[in-house]
Amino acid sequence: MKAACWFGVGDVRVEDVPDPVLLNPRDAIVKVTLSAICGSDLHLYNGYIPTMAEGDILGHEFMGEVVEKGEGVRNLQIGDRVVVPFTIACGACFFCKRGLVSLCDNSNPNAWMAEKLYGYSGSGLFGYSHMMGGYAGGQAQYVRVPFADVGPVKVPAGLTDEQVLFLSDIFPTGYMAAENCGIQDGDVIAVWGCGPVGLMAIRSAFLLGASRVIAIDEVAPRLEAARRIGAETIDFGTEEPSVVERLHQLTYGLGPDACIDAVGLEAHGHSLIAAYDRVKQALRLTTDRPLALRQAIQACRKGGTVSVPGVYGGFIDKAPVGAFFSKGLTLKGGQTHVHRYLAPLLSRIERGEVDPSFVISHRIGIDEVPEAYATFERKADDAIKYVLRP
Amino acid sequence: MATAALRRNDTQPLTNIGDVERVGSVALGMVFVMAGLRRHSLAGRTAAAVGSALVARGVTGRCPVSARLARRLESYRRPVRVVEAMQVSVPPAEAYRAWRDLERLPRFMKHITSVTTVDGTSHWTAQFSGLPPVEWDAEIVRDVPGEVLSWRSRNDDQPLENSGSVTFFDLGPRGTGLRVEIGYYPPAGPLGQAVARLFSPVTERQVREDVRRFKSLLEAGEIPTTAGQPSGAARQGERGR
Repeated sequence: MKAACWFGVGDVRVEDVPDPVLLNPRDAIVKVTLSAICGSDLHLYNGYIPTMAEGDILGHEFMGEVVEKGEGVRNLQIGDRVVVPFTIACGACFFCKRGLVSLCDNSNPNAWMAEKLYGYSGSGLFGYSHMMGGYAGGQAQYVRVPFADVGPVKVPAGLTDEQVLFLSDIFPTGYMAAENCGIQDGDVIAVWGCGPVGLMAIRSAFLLGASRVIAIDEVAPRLEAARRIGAETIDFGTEEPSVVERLHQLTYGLGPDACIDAVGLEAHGHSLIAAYDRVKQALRLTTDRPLALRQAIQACRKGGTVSVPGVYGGFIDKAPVGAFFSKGLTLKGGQTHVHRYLAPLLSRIERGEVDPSFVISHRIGIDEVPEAYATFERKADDAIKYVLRP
Repeated sequence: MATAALRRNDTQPLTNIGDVERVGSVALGMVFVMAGLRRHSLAGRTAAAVGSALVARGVTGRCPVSARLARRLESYRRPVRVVEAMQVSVPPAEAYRAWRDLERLPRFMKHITSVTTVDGTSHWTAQFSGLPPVEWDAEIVRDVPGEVLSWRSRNDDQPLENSGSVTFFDLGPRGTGLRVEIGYYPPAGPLGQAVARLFSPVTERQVREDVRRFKSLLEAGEIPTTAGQPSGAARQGERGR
């Protein structure tokens, strides 16, 4: 089969690789009908997530048709059309039983690697480094899906692939980010980053009762996309004064009730402190550039919540922990507990409350994946979201 | 066996080097001091400092270097001991039954290739990478169903003298708190033991991985793996569908 493989920083190639086979009783093989490139794949592309190996198959947002299944998979039939969560979870451990599936104890065969860095390991993920399990990913024609009896969700015939694909990651991720804000009617939510997750978070914040959402970015088509779904915007590339000051003004001095950092470890900025982060990261003195997170903590109103769906991998510098403490903030983050959002969000799509396909900007085939990574990385060609039919 | 190593400051003798060595130490120290003081260089001052330390060592009869070395040697006689603790979401009775089923332990103990049981004793075969297989006999020392299981290898002349215990704590709705303790005397004299000690962090990881696989088997019914999945780096094997 064909698969998009990682070979190094800025080096993704489409290779002819062996087809996946069942390795465990609870496995299924899914023939991919639609897959996507995630903004977080760019962290791999740019080499900020450790423990990638040459030849690793990328991709963690995919859906398709069940073509093979192990003896432990009784709820799925061959031919079922399913969306697969990017987090792999056993459904039986302490964490899965509490719905914290992205913290599953039993799905990361390389848990020891993550334990070295984080103390404990989260769940395995598709196509997202060996530290996260080393599972072959979904930018491929076929994927082996572990614990297929608890992960994949069947899709009703009336919905298109594009409508449901993002249940695999970005819709639940944006939704959980908004849910973590504990939104009450009338709340004002600030969202850093208008990439696909940021856009989903904006959409979800409105679904959950926010009265205003203020979106922050510097890429024109992304700000435009945010405005189209009802957000007010701050362009930190051109607008003065600073983001924190603008938010102060826009909320009449109160500050946003909750702040969502949908940027993560590769934040861009134009301030002195942004340059400082860049230099330190380039020299490997720090791993993550937390510009958005710092601003979020600084801008958030007293007693508010900072919600972090953006990916961080290592350590941050100059974290305003004094502001966090003094203002009595709540900080929430983590990989998405995808499984628990599948049914409710699928119903929202079925009811027509939301159509996540609005984020798609490019539709490609698998052979165009390497070029798409390069374009996406430069945020050129108005790229927001690539989907691919492998 | 480990008791010799437990003596520390309270019982430490006042001197730890012999009379002949003490006289030699003072004499050599004096030579260093005299030679060193004659040169006004860094090397000279260093020599003088080393010399005065040697003199002090001879006069007091105490040598911190020797003392540390002696403690090191004593420590070689201690067994390698590894403790692992892990929560498992099944009741203690079930966890106990799974561990008590000795012949099926190789399912999750990576280096154990087989266990056979014959009335009360068990025969173990282990394979560590790059080494010939090791075999030994073990017997169960304590067996309280649902609570504790401990064992030890049968004779001191076994190639891998070892012992261990698993305790199953009842955590109520959280299942079982598993505490696994494994101790072994590494084979082949002080050198082998030194090497084994060097690798004891590796041993700790192996034990943790074994216990983790046990947990996965009980909770998820299988052990997570990626062995055998496709990769762009593995060009051999089956191609295309």
